[in-house]
Amino acid sequence: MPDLAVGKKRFIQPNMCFTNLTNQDKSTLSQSDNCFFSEALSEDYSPILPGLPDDVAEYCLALVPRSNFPAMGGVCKRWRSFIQSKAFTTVRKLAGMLEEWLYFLTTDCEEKESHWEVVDCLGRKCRSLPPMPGPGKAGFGVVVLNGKLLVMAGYSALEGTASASAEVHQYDSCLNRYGFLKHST
Amino acid sequence: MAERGESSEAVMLKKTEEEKLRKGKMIVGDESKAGYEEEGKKVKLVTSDGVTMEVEISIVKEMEIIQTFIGATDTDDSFIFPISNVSSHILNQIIELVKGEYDQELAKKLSHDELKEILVAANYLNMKTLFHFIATAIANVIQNKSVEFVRDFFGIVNDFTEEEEAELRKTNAWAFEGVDED
Repeated sequence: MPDLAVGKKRFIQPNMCFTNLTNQDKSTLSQSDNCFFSEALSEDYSPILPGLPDDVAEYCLALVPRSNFPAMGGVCKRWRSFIQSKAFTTVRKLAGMLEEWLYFLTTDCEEKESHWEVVDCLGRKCRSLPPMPGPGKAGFGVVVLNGKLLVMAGYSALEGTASASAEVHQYDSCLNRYGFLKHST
Repeated sequence: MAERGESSEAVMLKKTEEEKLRKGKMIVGDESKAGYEEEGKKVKLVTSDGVTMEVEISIVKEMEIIQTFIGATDTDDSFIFPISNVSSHILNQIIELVKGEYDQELAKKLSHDELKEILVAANYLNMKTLFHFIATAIANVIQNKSVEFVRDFFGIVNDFTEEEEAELRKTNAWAFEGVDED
């Protein structure tokens, strides 16, 4: 079939110009093919969703509501590192999926220990955070950086003697998890 | 715009159209789209498996990649657009989804592979509504499901060691609450 052969020839280049024409106005839909193939070549590369270019897969994950993130962080290492990354926040912002949660520090009924609680943007109580690691502290400082809650210093009273603490704990709000921030001595 | 258009599009035009172009009849901009907006009109697309399909203009309108092309060149009814990244099977699925006005029930009937292929096609054809629709369908698959279900559905290999996984379960109590039945 000579027609088919001619047809094929004609079609090879037009595709290239399609790409040229449309890249200009792509915002959320980006040039997936390029990055897909270059990344696929490196050896220990694992895609976020097999069979999909990463930028497309990232968009899919960004559309999942936030309360699912801790579970998603347990799927594989690639997902875990992506969910912890700043890039994930950026994609969710682009997709209009950022959810504001309010964290507040409160005491339990006996007013002995303090713990964190979370409410979502509609004021519904979601859950309590896991207890902060280490002995119960007072007088610590709190700051939020890139979606991570930093609990710094303070003092703890053990058996009547108060001792100052130089520890910094970092709470990852996406993965619902505390970690230590290492400091040099 | 016109310069860029001329250099890249010329390749695609048939002889007669090339002549028109030389005579300076090329129309750039929205005016040239007008001819494509008639009801019931069809546009010919040839898929990756070589099938030529006549697709209603109302559906082709969502394919921004084709629209950009129509808008920038003087094409006529006989023009065949190659969409070499999309198979006829997937194009048929796309047509059905657009005609069904993006009903989530339709998405539920799609296999995992179909979901992925349609998403890649929507990305290539620059169909924004379809892209968001399918991405949402995939996000719905992930939502409230156990990690095992998600791994299994997407073919993801669990690369955590047993110790790491036990640690995750211990420190991640939320993660395993309120999971749907698979």
